[in-house]
Amino acid sequence: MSAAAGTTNQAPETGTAAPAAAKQRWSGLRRVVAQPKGLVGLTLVVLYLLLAIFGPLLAPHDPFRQDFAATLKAPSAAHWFGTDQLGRDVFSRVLIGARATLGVGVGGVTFAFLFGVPLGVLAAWRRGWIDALVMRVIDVMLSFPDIVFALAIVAVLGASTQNVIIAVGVVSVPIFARTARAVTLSILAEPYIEGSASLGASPKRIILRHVLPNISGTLLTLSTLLFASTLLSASGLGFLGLGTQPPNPEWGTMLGESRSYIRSNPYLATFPGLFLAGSALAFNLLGDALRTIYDPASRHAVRKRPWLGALRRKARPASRDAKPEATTGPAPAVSVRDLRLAFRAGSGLLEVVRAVDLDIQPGRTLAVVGESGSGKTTLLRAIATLANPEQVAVTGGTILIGGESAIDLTPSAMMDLRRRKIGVVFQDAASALNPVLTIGAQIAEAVRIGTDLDAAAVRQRCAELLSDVGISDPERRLAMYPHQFSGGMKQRIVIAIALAQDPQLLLADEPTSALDVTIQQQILALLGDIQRKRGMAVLIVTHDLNLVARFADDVAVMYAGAIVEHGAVAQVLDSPRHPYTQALRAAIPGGAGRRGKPLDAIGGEPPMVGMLPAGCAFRPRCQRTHGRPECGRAEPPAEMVAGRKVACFFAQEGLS
Amino acid sequence: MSADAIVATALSRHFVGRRPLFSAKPAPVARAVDGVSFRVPRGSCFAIVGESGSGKSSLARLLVGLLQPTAGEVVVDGEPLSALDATGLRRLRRRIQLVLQDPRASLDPRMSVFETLHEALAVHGLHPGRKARAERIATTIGLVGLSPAHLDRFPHELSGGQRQRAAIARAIICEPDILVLDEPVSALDVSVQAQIINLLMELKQRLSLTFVVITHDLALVEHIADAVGVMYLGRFVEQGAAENVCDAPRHPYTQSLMAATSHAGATGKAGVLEGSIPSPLAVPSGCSFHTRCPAARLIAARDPASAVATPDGLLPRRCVTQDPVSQAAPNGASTATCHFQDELPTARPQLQPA
Repeated sequence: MSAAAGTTNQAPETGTAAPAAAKQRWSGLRRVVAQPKGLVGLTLVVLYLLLAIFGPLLAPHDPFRQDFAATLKAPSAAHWFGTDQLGRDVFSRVLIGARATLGVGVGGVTFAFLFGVPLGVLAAWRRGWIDALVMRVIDVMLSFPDIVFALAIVAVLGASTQNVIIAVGVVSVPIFARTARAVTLSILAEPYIEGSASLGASPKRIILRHVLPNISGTLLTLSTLLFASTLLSASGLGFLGLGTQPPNPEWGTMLGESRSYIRSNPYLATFPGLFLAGSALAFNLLGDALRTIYDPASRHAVRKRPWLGALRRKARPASRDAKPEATTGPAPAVSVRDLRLAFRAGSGLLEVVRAVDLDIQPGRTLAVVGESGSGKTTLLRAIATLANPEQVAVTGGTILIGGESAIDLTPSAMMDLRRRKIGVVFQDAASALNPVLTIGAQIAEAVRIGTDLDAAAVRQRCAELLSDVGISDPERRLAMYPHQFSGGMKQRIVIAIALAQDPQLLLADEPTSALDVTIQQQILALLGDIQRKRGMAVLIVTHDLNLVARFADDVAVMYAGAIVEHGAVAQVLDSPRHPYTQALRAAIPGGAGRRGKPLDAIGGEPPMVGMLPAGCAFRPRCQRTHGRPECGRAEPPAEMVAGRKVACFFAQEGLS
Repeated sequence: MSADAIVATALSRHFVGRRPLFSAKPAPVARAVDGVSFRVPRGSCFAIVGESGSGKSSLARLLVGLLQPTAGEVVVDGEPLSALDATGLRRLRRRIQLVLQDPRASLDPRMSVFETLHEALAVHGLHPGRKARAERIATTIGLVGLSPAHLDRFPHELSGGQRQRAAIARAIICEPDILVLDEPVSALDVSVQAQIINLLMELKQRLSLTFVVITHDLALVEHIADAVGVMYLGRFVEQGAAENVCDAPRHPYTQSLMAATSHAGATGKAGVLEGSIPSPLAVPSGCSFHTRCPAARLIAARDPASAVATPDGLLPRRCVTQDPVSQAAPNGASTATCHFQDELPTARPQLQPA
């Protein structure tokens, strides 16, 4: 595939304005329950906790009463789980043992939390020798196997429930300390910490008010996961006779006592074992569900209903691209007609691109200008055949790339089309390159797809591509890694990858906004050169009108998913006719005459996706509408006015 | 009270790396800020311009005391920062506030707008009492153009512009004298940028604030700044009154920057600077800009007798070997650090034809 980047599928930015009443504190719980494993885990954990609290009240028999007339009985109506070697009711002992067993787990985790977290936070906050000392001691502690370490502690302190709690707690302290240190370090690097420090907040306040609340999610997850292992360690000690002392029931101790009868009376070990395994499983499931919520890496991984999207795609008529257009002149490299795209949100479809028409002839550059949420990036991804069908639905219209439809393709046909015709350059070159592969390997990968060149020819082609994008000494640079290049050089490499298959259409999403001004100019000049040499069509998405003025032939101004003004750059930017384009031009500082005077700001903010006002989407911010009813009644159609298409009922009014 | 809100004298901040084990080489030193001097009169706006890696963010943190200088001195309102202890520094921070670039990251995601503003008051013990604080918060939120309904929202429930307004509210709620604004609008949508710029200008007037703006956007500088310092590799290569520096830049670097930001017509290749900013760990000898300077190449081509060959091409010997000193422009309104500034055309790069 010649698409150079774009491994990150941005989740559509919708519903950011949740009602204020839906406070954050309950949202965590709701998100746990929304996952099957979270629901099961949470239910089981609650049941276990109830068991620990009410177990003694429920026990049908006295768990300590020995009955030598009925030892080692199999499960029966009177004794549900049978009786043990002393004739005690196993069911009652299991119920009563819950409190001791879970108590050891809770105690151990609490102990580890109370010592480990402050140590980790302290190390992260103070750094320097305190950090070094704490971390080395912890490394040493971690080098002992858990259970051996715990055994040694109990051996020194003596066997008792309390000492088991200390032993399993001490074993977990290093894990808490390390995690707390790592997450604290990452929180301390957040700008809002610097913000509070510059506000004058004391270190104590920063730790208590900003760091602890923000690391609590991770630590809660860790506590739950560690709870399971602590429980098992404690029961292991109990099994070895070092934990809760007989006759007090504890599941590990009970397992230990049943050891001698494992062949003759296996049920004796079965029930405490099942309860023990169940509790570990319950806490693990809950911890896993919590991790899904608090781990940012897995946050967007949970996506619903992919099969539903697939069904919908199939259900639509397949022969939509068979609409021949009466075109004059050469076939456009890309032709988009009445394209409608929508985000799949929990509540249904949110329309994000509304009836977009555009053509780009070979050798021309079209700039799509818009603000965040205007749908410009979604449009680009759809044309690049990179829109994730699970997130974005094509609800109407056509995309023809070099005459071939780019909609309703099978995944392999789509890959093939993308490889042959499309090159993509994304904004963030740093994340578009794989840090562990040489750039030679990454360019070669793009070159090799769909061809059977030998290794020498591939290498030759890679070197050519690098010199095409203005990188000198290409042979040597091919063996270098991305981190050895500056941001501007990385963007050049990304462009080289996009050019690997000689695309007819180059799509660039904010290709320079992550770069410094002087580097921006270099990259734009390079893109212009390449385009002239290869006669490609270029579609560039940006919010920067200066860039448009310098680089593009045509410009399409997008607002709330629709193109409001579309024409040659000289016409649109010099004498804009749509009130939004006019306002954008006026809002940009610059020009000696206006120094220090207030800018002509556009009031309000762009509308949220899926929350458009009735009629013209720009009406609430428009300087031209003056409350005229036409604007509220219907969406203005795009019409030719003064040599460009404008979607405004009053486009004839007031030249800027 | 002195007339200058901030005076920085020969301010330097070097970051010393770790010396490689088993190596005689000295520890690497990154000269993030290197001998920078300027004064910001009360009520004015000083802009620091530069690319990433120029040291402008380190300079901002030196001004608010979040970093300690290696050498030199910052005097805020007549009080040298170095003379203050931790408590004194915290007290001073009420008067000099930092507004960061990305309001999404600079507000604690777990605090509502009210809690964020309340914290600012609590930190400095201002307006004690529940009612007084709520009143002060309500006044401030109105000043930045938000409504009391926004107070209960969390940062993720606000739009980009609203978030930056909340961040500005946090900065002004303690009635500071100075705001240090680090790229205050570059993370915002174009149509919202103008709103925030207007808001900042209005607040500056109403609350008699002094601004230090850190940015790479020369159009913004031209609009709001009274004076400007152009930073390259930790030093000011040009500084002076904003209209002089922007309209008649004397240093080749400033000239390139101006050409890159102005609405030049077609893809003007003249303004394109070659290469990228060198690492502050290896600042070039002589004039640190010589590796990229388009003017130096022209001068060397004109006068090959006094030029030397370098990996970056033929360059005047003075540029490669001699540190340029800061010289005032003939009208005295700006200074530039370039050997050949008097030989360069100073006209502002071509604006888009009307």
